[in-house]
Amino acid sequence: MQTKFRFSRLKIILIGAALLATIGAVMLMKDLQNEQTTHQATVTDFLTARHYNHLLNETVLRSRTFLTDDYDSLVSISGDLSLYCTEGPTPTNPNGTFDAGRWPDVMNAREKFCEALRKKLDSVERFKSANSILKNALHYLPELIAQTRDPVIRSVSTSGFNLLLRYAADPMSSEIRDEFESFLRQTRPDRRSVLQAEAAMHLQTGAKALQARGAAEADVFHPRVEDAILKLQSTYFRHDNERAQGSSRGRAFLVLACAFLGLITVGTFLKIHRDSLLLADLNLDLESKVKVILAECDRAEKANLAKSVFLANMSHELRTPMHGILSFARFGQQKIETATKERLKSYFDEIYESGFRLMALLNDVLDLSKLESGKIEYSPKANDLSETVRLVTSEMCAFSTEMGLRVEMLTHLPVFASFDNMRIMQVVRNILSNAIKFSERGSVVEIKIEKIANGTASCRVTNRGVGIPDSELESIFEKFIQSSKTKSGAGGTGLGLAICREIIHQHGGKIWAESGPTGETHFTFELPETPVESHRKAA
Amino acid sequence: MGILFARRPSGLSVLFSMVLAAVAGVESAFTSDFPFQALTAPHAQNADTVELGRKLFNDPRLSKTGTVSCSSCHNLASGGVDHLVFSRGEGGQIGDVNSPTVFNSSLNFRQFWNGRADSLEEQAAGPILNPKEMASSWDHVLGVIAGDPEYVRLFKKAFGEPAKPKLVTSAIAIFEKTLVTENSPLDRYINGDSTALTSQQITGLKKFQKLGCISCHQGKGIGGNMFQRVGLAEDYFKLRGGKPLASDVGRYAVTGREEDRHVFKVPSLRNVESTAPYFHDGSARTLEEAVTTMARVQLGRRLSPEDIKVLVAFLKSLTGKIPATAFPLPTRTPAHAD
Repeated sequence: MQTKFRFSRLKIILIGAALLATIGAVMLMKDLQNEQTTHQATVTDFLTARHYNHLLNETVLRSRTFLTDDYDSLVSISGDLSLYCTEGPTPTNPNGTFDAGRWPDVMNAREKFCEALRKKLDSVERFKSANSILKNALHYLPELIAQTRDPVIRSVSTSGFNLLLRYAADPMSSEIRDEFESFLRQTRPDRRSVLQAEAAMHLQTGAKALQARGAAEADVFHPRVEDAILKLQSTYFRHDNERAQGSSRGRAFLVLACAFLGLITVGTFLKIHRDSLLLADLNLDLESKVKVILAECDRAEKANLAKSVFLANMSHELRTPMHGILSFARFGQQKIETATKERLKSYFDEIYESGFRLMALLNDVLDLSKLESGKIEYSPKANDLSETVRLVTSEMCAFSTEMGLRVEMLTHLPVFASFDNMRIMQVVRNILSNAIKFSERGSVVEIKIEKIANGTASCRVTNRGVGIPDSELESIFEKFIQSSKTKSGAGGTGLGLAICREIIHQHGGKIWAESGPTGETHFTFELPETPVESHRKAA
Repeated sequence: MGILFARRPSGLSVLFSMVLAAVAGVESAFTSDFPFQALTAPHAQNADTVELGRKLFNDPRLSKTGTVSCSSCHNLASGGVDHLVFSRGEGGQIGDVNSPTVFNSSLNFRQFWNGRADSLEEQAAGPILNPKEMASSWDHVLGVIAGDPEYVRLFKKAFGEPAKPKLVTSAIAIFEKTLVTENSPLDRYINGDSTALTSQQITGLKKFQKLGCISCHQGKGIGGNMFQRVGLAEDYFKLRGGKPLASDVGRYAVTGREEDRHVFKVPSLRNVESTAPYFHDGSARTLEEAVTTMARVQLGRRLSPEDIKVLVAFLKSLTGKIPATAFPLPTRTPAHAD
């Protein structure tokens, strides 16, 4: 039982801890997911911004390398990118509310982004301008070459055009630039040739535009906008990461703490449960003990009550013969001169009678007291019950004859048992005297002694008489209880049977009364073969 | 990817593309990547807001003495302009620049000749507060609006709240966004109707591209999407003569940079037929004049009359239909018709 209990307790603890850990994990995941969602929104925003930036660069390049005029898309992309200055994402808490704490940092980063973007868009405009000028020049020169028949102009324009092309291909090259410039110096506008002048002018314009375009481009591709976007992004995410880290650390700790608390709680509850079971057990124990004590109290009370009743009865019983003694003694005193001898003798008889009765009562009371207090010393010996009974029977022969009865022993075989001879004689005497007293004149009192199971000796006294009502079979063994069928003046103190029971019980035997089918009364007592130390049994 | 492209493409590829462009003929380089786009219908705007914007646009009471409205200078009945060299403002004051057309103004990447306004909303506040134009103030404007139950009703209907400056400019801008003139012959031509342009106009289109006008007047608005200096090939101002005007400095007035001197926003050529006179100073009275000047100062070309004729024919094919939202037109004629 103990092992089983311990095992299930461990299981409970484990299950409890697992449950708490799951709850903690779910909470954590949910929180992270919330933050993740906020994360996702801002990541997409910044990705889009960076995408637009790249798109702008690409479109600029396309405008340059393929000489297409996609200025509308440059305008449109610039507009989209500019929106991030005014309509960029605002920092939010995981629960979606505006995060005012982060706002100043974000605003700063955004302003820097807008500044960088302004510079970039300015460069884009300059690029557009220079690019279109250059394109004109580059288209004009071939036209001129195609139109003119003048071989000089033709060759000059061609070389000029080629040079310009080379210069366009490599604007950073100082060699080409020098060559180009020297060429330009040579082809100074000449009054004679308008075309030549025009060609030269276009070459120059083209060269200037090329340089301007190169400068503008360099600025367009400056990484400051990309850097600013990344900075802005990190301003958002640094806080998020910090918070996520902090919060996830915090939450991990919280989960652990919860698990630990959970373990403690579960353990405490289990302990409480076990203790309560223990308590219940103890309680039951206590209750039974209390019942026992209450029963004892009850009995003590009853005994007390009985004692009070006893006292009450006794005082009456004692007083009555005392009165008799005193009153007849007084009569004697008063009438000593005048009363006859017979009269005086009757007075003395009465005194003797009362005194005898008083003595019997006192003896009985003392006996019972001694018996009850357990101060009687028994000397149980192996005795012959038959012999004991015969002795008592012959003792009461005169009495029985007087009452017109015959006392007959049904068996004469010896029946040995262990008992105190004197006391059992007392018992037999009592029972027999009762039997004689309450028998019909001319009937027989039968005594049957035999050995029954376990070597127990049994003695049964049967008589025919007024009988005992069934309801009183138990109560007659009580102190001072006499059968209701007692003839008034039958004598007796009402203690006899109580004394018998006491003696028999202290021998470890049983005594009881029963009524027979034809109205006879049986009084039976049993004695064990070997002495049994028995406590006073409950009534 | 931008980092990758930061490296200059190899000279060989540039050379190749340029030679291809030159040899194969400039036309193919252009036609394979047509620089114009047809106008599409503008975004549908809230009808209540458009009505309110139109009412505000046409309302002269917004000016100081109640004589000048937006449509006084950007007359919806006459091509979106007032056909004056310089517009007349409050009290007959002469303005600084030629009024650009309000039609298709939503296609411009900036507003005003020097591009100082980033949006139509920003532009709408300009004339209202300009002492030379409407000479008004927001207090006055809001007062007029508050005093007119029709305005109160319209504002409530359109915005759900009473008028304030932001809402006034918003309403005007939303109205202006609807003023897109679709279905010009060029647009129909671009959309596949090969009969939309006459042969003269088609020649003009090709010439337009060949000469290089296309390098600045391109895109959906056929212009309006970049800044450019005027007088690339030749000094425009010298050619024009006359006193220097305040507006001659162009974008320099906005940025203060030397390289922005004489830089203007390239105007859109849509409906150019009906927006005479031309240029920021209104110095070109006719399209022929404008084309000649432009070719000379920007491209360094002297055009033959034939060229001019076909170019002008082409430019006339850029006129689209006045949109329905422009109506009803104001019943009152502008205060200072010329």
